[in-house]
Amino acid sequence: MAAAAGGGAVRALSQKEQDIQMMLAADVHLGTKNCDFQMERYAFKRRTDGIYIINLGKTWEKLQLAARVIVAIENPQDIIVQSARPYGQRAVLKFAQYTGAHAIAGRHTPGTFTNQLQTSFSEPRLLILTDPRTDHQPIKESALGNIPTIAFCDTDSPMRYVDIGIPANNKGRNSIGCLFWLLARMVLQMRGTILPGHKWEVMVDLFFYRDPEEAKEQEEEAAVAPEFAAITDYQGADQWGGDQWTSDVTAPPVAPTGADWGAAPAPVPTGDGWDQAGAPAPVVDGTVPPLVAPTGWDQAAPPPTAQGWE
Amino acid sequence: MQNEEGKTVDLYVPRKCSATNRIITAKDHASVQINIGHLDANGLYDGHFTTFALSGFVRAQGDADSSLDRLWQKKKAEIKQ
Repeated sequence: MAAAAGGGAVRALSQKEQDIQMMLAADVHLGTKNCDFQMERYAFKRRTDGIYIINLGKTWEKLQLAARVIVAIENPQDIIVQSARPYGQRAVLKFAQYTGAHAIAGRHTPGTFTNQLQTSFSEPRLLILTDPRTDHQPIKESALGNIPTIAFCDTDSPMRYVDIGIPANNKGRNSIGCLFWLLARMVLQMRGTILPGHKWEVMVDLFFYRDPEEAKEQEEEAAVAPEFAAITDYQGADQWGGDQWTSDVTAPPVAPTGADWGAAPAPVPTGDGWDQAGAPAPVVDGTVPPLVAPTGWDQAAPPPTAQGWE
Repeated sequence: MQNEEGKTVDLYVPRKCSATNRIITAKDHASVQINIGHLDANGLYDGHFTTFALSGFVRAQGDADSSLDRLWQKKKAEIKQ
């Protein structure tokens, strides 16, 4: 018994130490500047800049407790993993994929647990949250439906209606992914999917959030545009030789020079500017021109009287 | 409820909160019942679990986490988990 206990202690201690080292690398131990009074028992120390340090030994123990509660539920589909913050969406989807739970990554539709008219209505037996402050709506609805709640709590998170609070930094992307990875591995080990003493082949990086720009940049690097062949230099001088275009049309006639236009000079007007040919005949003195009576105006008929107008 | 002869005369006996001994009424929708699984020597779940019931009053105060911790630490020492 003592030897077996010793062996178990060595294995558990070794794995626990590795897990705590991973949590340290992922900055799980950094809390916030404020501390809720119900989270004071998890705070290890306060830094000089006011940030609380979380005791990672207690985090590991609470992770174990949460894994026990998760594994005690017969149907994994009755567990809902929820994360409204973008950093936890990928972790939540991966956790649900490996443990068989149901993931809600994104906005929680109000009424999911209380309004049975909705298509997404469900009555889970357990609810796992990333942040009690961001996911406050599912917490309220779980309080109306007898649903136990597991949540990753920062030092300033409200602990109302949270049954198992895992003290952790829930604001860093590496921290959230690391916590979900550890929880998933503990659940799989307790179920027997991962044999004791064996490592889980799934890397923890799968649970980390990736920026859309980062994914796009990686796609662009992968799909480099293929190089086109260099454009061949055409021999312009050879094709457009001068001798190719011989003039078929004869030379156009030369325009007449100024000497030809001078042959017929324009008539020069006289000094006074008066043209004798076009002048009317002068009137001889004493003779009056005959008067012509105007025609048409005197002989005009009187306008007919309009009989129907009076 | 028991009568003077010591027999239980009620059809429905409500549960009690494991932390505060409050009665969990039928209208207490905030109350929960949590099953904590037991593991064997290899760290595998063996099908048995310990049940803790918490009333809505305890959860609304925010004391559910510390109560569950205290209850589980005591129970863990008892059943040698």
